[in-house]
Amino acid sequence: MKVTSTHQRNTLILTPKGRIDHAAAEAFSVALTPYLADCQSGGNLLILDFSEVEYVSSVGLRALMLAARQVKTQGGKIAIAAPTPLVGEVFEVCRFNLVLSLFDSVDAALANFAVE
Amino acid sequence: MRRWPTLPLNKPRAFAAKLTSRSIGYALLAAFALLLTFAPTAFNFVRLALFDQYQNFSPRESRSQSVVIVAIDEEALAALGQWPWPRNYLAMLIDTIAAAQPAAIGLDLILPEADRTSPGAVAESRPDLSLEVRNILASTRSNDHQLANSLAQTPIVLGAAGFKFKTSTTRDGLRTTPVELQGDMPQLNAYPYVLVSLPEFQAAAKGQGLLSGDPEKGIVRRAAMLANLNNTLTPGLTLEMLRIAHNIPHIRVYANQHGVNSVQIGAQQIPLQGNGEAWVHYSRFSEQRFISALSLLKGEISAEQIKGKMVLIGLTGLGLQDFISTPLGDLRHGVEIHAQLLESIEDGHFLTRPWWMPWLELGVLTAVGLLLIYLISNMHQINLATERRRQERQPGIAPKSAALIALLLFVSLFGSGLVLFVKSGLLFDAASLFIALFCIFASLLASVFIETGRQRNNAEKALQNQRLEAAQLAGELDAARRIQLGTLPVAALAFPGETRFEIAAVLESARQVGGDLYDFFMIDEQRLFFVIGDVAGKGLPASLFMVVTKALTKNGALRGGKNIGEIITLANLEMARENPQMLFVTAIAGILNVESGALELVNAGHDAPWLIASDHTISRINGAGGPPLCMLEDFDYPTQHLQLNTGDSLLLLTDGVTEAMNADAEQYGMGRVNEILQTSDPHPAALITALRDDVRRFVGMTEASDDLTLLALRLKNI
Repeated sequence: MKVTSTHQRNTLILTPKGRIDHAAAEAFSVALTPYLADCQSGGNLLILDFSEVEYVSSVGLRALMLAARQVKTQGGKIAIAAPTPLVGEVFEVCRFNLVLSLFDSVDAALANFAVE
Repeated sequence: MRRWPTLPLNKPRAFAAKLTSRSIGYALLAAFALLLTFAPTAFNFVRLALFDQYQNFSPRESRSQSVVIVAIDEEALAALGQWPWPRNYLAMLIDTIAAAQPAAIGLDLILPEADRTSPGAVAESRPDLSLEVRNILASTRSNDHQLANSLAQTPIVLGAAGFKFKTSTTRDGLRTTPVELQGDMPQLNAYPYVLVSLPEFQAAAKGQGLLSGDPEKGIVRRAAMLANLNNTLTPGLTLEMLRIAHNIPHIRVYANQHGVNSVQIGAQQIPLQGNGEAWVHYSRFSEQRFISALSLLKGEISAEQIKGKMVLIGLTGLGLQDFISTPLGDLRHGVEIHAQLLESIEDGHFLTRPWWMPWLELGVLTAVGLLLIYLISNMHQINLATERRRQERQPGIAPKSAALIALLLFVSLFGSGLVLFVKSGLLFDAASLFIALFCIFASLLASVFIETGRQRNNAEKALQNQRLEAAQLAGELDAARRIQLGTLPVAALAFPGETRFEIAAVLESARQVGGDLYDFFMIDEQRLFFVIGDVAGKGLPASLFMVVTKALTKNGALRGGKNIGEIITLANLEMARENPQMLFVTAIAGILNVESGALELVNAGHDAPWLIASDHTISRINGAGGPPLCMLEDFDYPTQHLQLNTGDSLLLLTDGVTEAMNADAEQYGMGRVNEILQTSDPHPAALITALRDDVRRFVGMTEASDDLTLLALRLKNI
């Protein structure tokens, strides 16, 4: 699983690419792990830019859920931004907005972090 | 099937074995080194045999032809009578030789007693003769006197023989020219007694030398050039002849802590063994070296054949028993030893085994031995590695290459020995080294084979154990799977005689234990409960979680919840309480009133179900739902109300269908599901079979990565 990262002030934007299904979920979790450790109270804010994620399966959802729980315990903040319509539908079906903050775009997520 | 980690081979034992094979190698090496140093004769049988082979391979070429042997042979004995001849015959022979002006004469004979055929002796032994005759005989010059006269005229060296014991004829000294010794008195062959010629011969001769040539295992390879005669340094016949031939007043001997180093005669330096011996490098037998004493006395030999040469007088007659065995063959005449030595010294060709040679051999032994030990014990490791990689049944190639390397080493060992012999006349003992190194090599190779075999056995045992364990575990997992699948209702048997609806379901596990589930049962006379779910995860935890999910939903349904939303909300609450693995389940549950067609649905994060209407229109049922079960503990799941009509079918599936992957990593996808639904018979059993078969065709030989579950139901008659 390919994940690129960019920095904007105190916010780290990760952009995974491809499908997060049964085959890729494990690799996605592994790729995410080092960034999650930094995402804590007073540390980096984390935005997962999902604009290049084509699909998320139930195992992918679990990976995201675990990430969200870890960040929450550490007192950090994490959000998912710009999901594609298909992925957005999956999130909607699962009511994933109750687990993670979802935003239509990266800017919207940044703006939200800035306000808080 | 889970891949079991390969058990590592027993490393400490492998190391111990390597250590053992090495230490055996070291021990053998040390033992041989000690043996070579302190008991060098232990290897004589091979060492001398090798030196003999060197001589056979490369016999000496005689260049100077500076030595002739005057042979008292069969013909001479036949013509002049039995041996010993009257001394006047010998005197005649010597006079004839002397007339041809040889450089020196060596007498390979000892003349310790007076001649009994002298006229005076005859007179004494014949009292029957008249007094007159006896007086004449007694006053006639004796044969011995005549010989002494001849000896005095010629550059002759008499032979003498050293003895370890005293006899009636031995003396404890002989008249020799003094030898000048530079250095300490070396350890030489020591003789306290000596058998010498009559004093008048000793007085007449120019010199005397010892004739000793001690055979080793019957073969004469070395001759004493110097000996210790009653604590006097005494030259051998050969050295003394050289001294006379070169007209040198005395021989100078150089000795050091290793014994004799060399002997100097005039300008010539002759290297000797520490004990004063010289190795004889034999040339092939040559008739030309021999002159018959009879021909000589008859005047048939030209003076040119003798002039300036060193002449040895010796016995060659068959009855006289003076034969020796040499490296080049048996039945060589004893007198030849001196001829061979003289000739090679005159040619400046020496065969030596210097004091440092055993040390060189020890060094070579140690170096090659260590190399062998290093190479083979490492090959051992390489071999084991190869063994592990290939799981070969045959021994690896390493022993073969080890044997090749050893062969090369041995060949070069013997080769260098031969080169040293041919080029420098050095006697390098490759044979003892070969025996020592071969023993080391063989022991190392044997331990490699034994160890390889042992480790292969161990590896096979380990593999067998692994298989056994895997089989046991597989058995347990298989049992778990049977229990898991056993909890699933079988559609065909669940509702015998049911006319209101049809239902069919299938669950195919990807690996041994999966996380999919389905269930259905009648809550009461009219209401059918059904659920399909997919635990996010695989293996045993997912499987157990699936069983829990199934039990809790069933429990909730049978306890009589108000609607499906409430049932699932309660089940979620209970499940979420104890969820250490952070697993969750996407699921769709529903209650269908099979008489009215009223349908309650709840979707917990699952793919939307498919509706195949009686008029074959296909649609997805989106709408009210919630997150997967266990994701949010206190979520209040809403109930979606729908109405089914006669002939309407409902299809629920898990992502094992839509995400089924073929060899090109393509996914089955919703589109293909839709296509099958368009064309298939809408009856649940047929529908499910068609869809499952199409997925199977699609994935081909690719192993399924996730469980696949399908559940279809159809309302037949309202």
